[in-house]
Amino acid sequence: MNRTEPDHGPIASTVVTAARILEEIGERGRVVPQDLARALDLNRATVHRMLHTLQQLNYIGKQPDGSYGLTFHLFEIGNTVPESRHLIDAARRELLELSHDTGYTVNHGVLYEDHVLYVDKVTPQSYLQLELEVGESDPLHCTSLGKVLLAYLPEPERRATLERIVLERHTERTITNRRDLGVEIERVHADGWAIDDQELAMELRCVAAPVLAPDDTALSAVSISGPSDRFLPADIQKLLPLLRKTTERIAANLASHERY
Amino acid sequence: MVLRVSHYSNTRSNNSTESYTPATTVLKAFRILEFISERQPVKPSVIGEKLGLSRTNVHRLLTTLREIGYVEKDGAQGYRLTFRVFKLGSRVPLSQDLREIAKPIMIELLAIANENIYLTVRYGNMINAIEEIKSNNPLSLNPDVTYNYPIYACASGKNFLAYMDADARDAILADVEFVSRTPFTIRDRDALDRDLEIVRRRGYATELKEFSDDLNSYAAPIFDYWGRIVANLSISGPSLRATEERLDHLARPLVEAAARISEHLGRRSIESNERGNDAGSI
Repeated sequence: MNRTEPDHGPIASTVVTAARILEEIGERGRVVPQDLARALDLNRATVHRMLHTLQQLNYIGKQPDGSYGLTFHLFEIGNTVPESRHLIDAARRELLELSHDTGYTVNHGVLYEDHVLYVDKVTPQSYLQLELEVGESDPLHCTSLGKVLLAYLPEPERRATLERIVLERHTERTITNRRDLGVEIERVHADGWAIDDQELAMELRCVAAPVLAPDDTALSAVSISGPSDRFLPADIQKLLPLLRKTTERIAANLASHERY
Repeated sequence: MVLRVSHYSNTRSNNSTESYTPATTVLKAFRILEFISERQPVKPSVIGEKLGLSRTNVHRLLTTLREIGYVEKDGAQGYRLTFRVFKLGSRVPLSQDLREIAKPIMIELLAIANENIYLTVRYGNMINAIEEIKSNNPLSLNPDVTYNYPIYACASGKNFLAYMDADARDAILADVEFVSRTPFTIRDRDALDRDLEIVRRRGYATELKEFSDDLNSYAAPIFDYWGRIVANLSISGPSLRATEERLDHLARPLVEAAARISEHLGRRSIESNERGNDAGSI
């Protein structure tokens, strides 16, 4: 697929090879060409030619030790994805306000490949930093964002996703029974919000609500998260109206960008 | 056999000592990707026209980019990049290390400046603050702060524009609408280009009531190992207190702090001498 075959098919195979190399470097952080050749089963000449090409595009750079790593340019290209969908400019101010008003970390996520993908995060300086970073993803079944995004999928997709996802246990509180999760998702849809009570990590509690499109499907979701000893279920109840106000405002801001 | 790597060059020309010829199909495909990144959603006809590629060529490369999950069709509007590209970009180790490296240096700068210190990155034609160290001054920054600024209206944005390739700059500015947020906002490309000249010469960028009537800000560029601008360090404060005169005095510590972060990212001062103008002189 990658060697001397002429590149004339409906798919440009050299581009596929280049992307595989890029992803592999992303996966490993820093890689030397020999390891790339071995991991991807490519010959040395192909690897060097692709590295040279990707370097010319400034997607990768060579380290003093001879290994290659992704450059910041790729980070910038990646950032245009949430920005062009107005997920940053329509939501930033509302997330900041919510974090400021509540004193907790606020996350903004979308559904992507059966996971919740974090596109933005705001942390109040004074609170403990949670290890959630933008661009990372978490499972749907054990996060408040994931439950909300799942609950507000259009019906056939919701059922199919519920059937498909792996219900891995992360803590003793993780819902790992598919029927129980189905019941939970029904409840989330009826109530309009979801909670993660130490289901992904102990000592972490989150609550989330959807940013809804006019057709009642979720465009994205917003969560508030805090340490379980301070962020108690009673506090969560009190924060719901504020969370709802935030998601409604974001929905309105996104609607005003509809023309794009 | 070993690739000889020169420091990042703005010309993107072939390295003459290079024994491998680049894969032209790959170059074309990723130039399409970049083109889409700057103007998404984009129609295939526009891509062909602007990049000088045939219809069949564009079609085949878009099919390929779709196949590998990097682009998707957005109804009749054209093509967009997918969240897969966002995830790939967020794997860049620097984007996570940067904050950690910057934070102690930002705290030190706060002690000198006693105004809010920001770490900013570029999202398309917008600038976002990804880290903030707040001044304990009772008069806080104007409440209009969204941490999200148009590239032409803020100090950090000017640095990004000043140090990027001319092509990239043109692509970004092609779709930018200059909105006069205040009487001092830069209102056209000519005025911006003149300002960018000054920015490059000085080594830092200024923003005096350009984003907001009561906000002044100075920013200094942060470069990576390859001499490419990756982020900015900025000092921002209410214009009544953070006056031009006061910020002029803070410019030197600001540029030095940014240079220290660049050094942590692997950029050495020898390299900045080699490259000449980009590290700025103050």
